[in-house]
Amino acid sequence: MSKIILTLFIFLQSIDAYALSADEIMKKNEEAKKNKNITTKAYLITGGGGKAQREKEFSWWRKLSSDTVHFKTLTRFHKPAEVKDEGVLFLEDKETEILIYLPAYKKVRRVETAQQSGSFMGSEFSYADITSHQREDYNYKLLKEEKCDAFDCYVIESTPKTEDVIEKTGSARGVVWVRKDNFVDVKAEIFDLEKKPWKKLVAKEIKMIDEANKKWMAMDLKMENLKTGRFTNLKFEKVDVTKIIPDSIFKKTSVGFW
Amino acid sequence: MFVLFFILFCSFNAVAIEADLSGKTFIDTYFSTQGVATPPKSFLQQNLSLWLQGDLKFSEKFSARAIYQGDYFDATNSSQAAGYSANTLRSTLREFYWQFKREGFSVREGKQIISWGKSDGLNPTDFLSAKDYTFLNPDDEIRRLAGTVVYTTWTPDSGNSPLTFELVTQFIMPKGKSLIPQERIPTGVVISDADTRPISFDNTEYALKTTYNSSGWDLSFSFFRGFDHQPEFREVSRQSIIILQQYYSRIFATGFDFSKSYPDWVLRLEGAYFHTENPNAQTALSKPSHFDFIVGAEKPLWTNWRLNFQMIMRYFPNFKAASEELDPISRQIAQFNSLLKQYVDKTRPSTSVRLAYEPEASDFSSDVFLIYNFEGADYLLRPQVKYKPIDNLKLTVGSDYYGGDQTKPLGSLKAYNSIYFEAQYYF
Repeated sequence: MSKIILTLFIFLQSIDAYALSADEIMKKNEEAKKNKNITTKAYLITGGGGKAQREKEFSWWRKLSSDTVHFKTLTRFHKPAEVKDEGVLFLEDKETEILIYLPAYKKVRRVETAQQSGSFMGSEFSYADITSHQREDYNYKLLKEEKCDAFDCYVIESTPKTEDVIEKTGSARGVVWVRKDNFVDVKAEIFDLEKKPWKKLVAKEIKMIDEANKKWMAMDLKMENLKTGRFTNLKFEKVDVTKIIPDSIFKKTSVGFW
Repeated sequence: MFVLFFILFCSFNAVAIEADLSGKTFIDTYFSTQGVATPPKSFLQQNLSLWLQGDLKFSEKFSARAIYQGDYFDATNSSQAAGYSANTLRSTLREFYWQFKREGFSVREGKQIISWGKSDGLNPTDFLSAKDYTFLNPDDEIRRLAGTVVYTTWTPDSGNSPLTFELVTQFIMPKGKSLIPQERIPTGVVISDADTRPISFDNTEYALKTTYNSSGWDLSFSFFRGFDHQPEFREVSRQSIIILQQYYSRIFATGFDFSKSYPDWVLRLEGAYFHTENPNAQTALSKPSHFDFIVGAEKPLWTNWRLNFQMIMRYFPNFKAASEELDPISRQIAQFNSLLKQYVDKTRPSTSVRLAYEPEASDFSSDVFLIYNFEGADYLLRPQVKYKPIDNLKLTVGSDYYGGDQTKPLGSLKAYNSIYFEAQYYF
């Protein structure tokens, strides 16, 4: 009898050893999406809340920095004509720097950290949503495991470690659903500073865009503002991970060259 | 040059050209609130404009752009001094250039606008472009004029260095136009066309800018040898009438700009020293050498509000007031020039404030801009409201109000007090 109990104890211990912590899951989540170079065409389609639907078309370049942690991202808008050539440069580091090129003024303007929770080009995505969230900036807690659509998912709560992160993102809490099979997040709920539901993100058309390195990307992200009823779909097409993006395009002085 | 390059490029390269055409049309009406408009025309200025922008992209590195600008406007009541009258049709290529870029290097050649400086609205280091202030528009950038330029940028280490160098050679400079109230033109004076200069080595403008980009801040130093692009007026004939010619004087300038972002605000500094043709203020007929300096801060306020506040200083180390000119006619011309070129006082401290309300999910936005000079208490107040009823249409209603001492630069523009309306459609 004691042998059976001992065997069962060892078995349960071994199961526990293979169970992933919330931090480990989020690390795998980060790795699953860490593409070195992404060049793609993108669309922001914003509607709801009794307003007419509006679409913006832009190019998107994202490159992993040499520190293999942070990204540099450049977006260059093509349509509508009102925003043609507007560029937004995201330089992630310990502090994320965001610069906007305004073609009407032919000038580059800085976005203050406090404004990074503001709307990205009039959409329901904020500048902070467009940058990659740094895993080290959050505490994670595994809430439960459940089905999300057809997949088994981990449900993880994230809370910012510092006031700076709260100020930058405008959010004091998040809950994310991460698929068990590929560690890609398929859904997230974002809470405001008072921890009331603020935005909901749903990721669709999740594709493996780099088979050699097993990297994934959601081709359709829908961000819904639960307070206003407005939503934005961020859609990607013509994704290219083979082209090595030169660092020079992420320079402040290059943003003005369309 | 452009056409030749284009033909050569297309001849030697089998290229898949990406083409794009976009544009905007806008109509503006400025109604006088000073009773300046003379019947039967009730407006100060009215225009219908069309801009067409054509882009050709031959590759990631090589592309070209042309922007056509057509303005049909009536400036009978606003810009006689600029030579405009009723039903003026102005048709021009606003910009027309090709550009080549590769890692750390770019060159752009042709007619183009280069706008330097980081401050809001006023830029001491904006050496290269010019503005046509006689074309009334709520957007100052629409008034901006281009020069014919070879513009080269180089960032060492294949674009990875924090240093960037910009070299500009401007063969044909843009010639700005100043807003001149009719009643400010001295009696018996006629204003002739602007001076013309042949393209030559001596008349070519050169500018160099070096920028150091760091995380969260950047600092630039710039140098310029060329001309002041806003004219002053010089007497060319004194017979039965006095003829004044619009004259673009030679300057040498050096300046700097700096910006740094803090968690919830941005600091901007900009300054320049201008060495003019009248360095020691021997005459009051021409603008003396001077310093311009601006310190500004931009900060979001509450939700959806944004404040931009600047302190501005102009200082003339050597100064001669227009009233010190002994000849009465010269005195009048000096007074006229000093108002237009803003050298009425030895020091000219000013401030500017822009408060904008821009709710993210609303079709309405509004802002109010004030520039106030402490010497003379003259000012410009410009409140405006914008509304976007549909995606591509923007309607603007606003007002220009010039107040204060009318012997000072902004107060002297009281004749241009107006309420304006603009409809702008993008396609």
